[in-house]
Amino acid sequence: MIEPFSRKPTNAREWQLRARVLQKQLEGLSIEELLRGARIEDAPKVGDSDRSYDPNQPRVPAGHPDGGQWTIKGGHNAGSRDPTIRSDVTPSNEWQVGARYASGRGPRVGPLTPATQAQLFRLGAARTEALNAIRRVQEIEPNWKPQPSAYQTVEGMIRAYQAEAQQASQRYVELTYLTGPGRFAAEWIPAPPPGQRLTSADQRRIDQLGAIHGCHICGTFNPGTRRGHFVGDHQIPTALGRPWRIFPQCLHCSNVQGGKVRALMNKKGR
Amino acid sequence: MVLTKKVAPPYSLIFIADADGGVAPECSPPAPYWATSTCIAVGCLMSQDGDTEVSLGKAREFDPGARPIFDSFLDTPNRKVNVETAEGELILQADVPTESTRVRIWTNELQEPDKIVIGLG
Repeated sequence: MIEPFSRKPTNAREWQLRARVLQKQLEGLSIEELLRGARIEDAPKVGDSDRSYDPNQPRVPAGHPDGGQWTIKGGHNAGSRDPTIRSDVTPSNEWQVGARYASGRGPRVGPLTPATQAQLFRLGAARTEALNAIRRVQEIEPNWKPQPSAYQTVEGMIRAYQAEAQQASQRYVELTYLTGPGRFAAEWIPAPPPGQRLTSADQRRIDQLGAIHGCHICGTFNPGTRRGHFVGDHQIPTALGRPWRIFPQCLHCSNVQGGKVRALMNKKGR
Repeated sequence: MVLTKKVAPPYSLIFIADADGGVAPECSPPAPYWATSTCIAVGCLMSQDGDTEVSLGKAREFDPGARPIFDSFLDTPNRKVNVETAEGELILQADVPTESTRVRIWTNELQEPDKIVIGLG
């Protein structure tokens, strides 16, 4: 039996053996884990005590979206079927762009087709955007997850990430604009009876609160209106129930909320 | 016939769409209007600052000569054009002869106009 990683393969058979071992190590990993180079929970975190520089620490191979980045050191599970990359592979650049690295257990429904460098770049960008958008939602709703998409090509994978980012953005807007006061909400005034406008005294108070706390959604101190008044935002939105509080809001957030309310009304069947 | 009404709509927006409501656009980033093929949202004066005068009619009846801020086609499968608030309150309504209607919009200001003219056809 040839030890596949003890030295650089010298013939086709040794290369094939090495590839099979690698494939077994990568089997069952999700795309997230593949891209990261390890299981998410095993990824090093800021402040880890063993984050010091180690020249022998393996890197993600070239051709991989995270190619060149440090990955988890080889260790206690190396070579096992545990779905964790704990590779003790000698860092090398022999991996090819578009090579088939693993059969996935994630949403992918078949082997990935070869990817170009441009696709890998776009894939990385789409993934980053999706992760950031999901993280932003999870700050408000920790258990929220986007619906997974199926894909068979690299382009499909990019679109899947873009779809996740879009879902997350939509959810963030819903959470921010339609489900109560925003993250900068502080003081408020009582809402007038339904159908009644704010009095000028109410408006002065809203402007004062806006000057102190900013827009309750985005925190800006610039109301964005022609006459410099903050919008008095009814919470909850009148379309969703009877509001009882009014917070200062900037014109832009008011417009965005209006679009969301309109979409919601249409969805409800008007 | 030109229809005119003064309103102070919530969210400083009016929506122009077919009677079925259309698909509301994302009203961001800040702009004079936002549109999908089935719905147009136009910013107006913040309600606390006063009313906005909205006019609806055939474009040739009141084309002010200036360049419109919006000039495109709107899907009107029910052959009606509604002007509504975000909450679905009807402001103005007009019948149109076709399932796709050219809509031109003029405003007296790019931001928070208090006069909005909607020309059809």
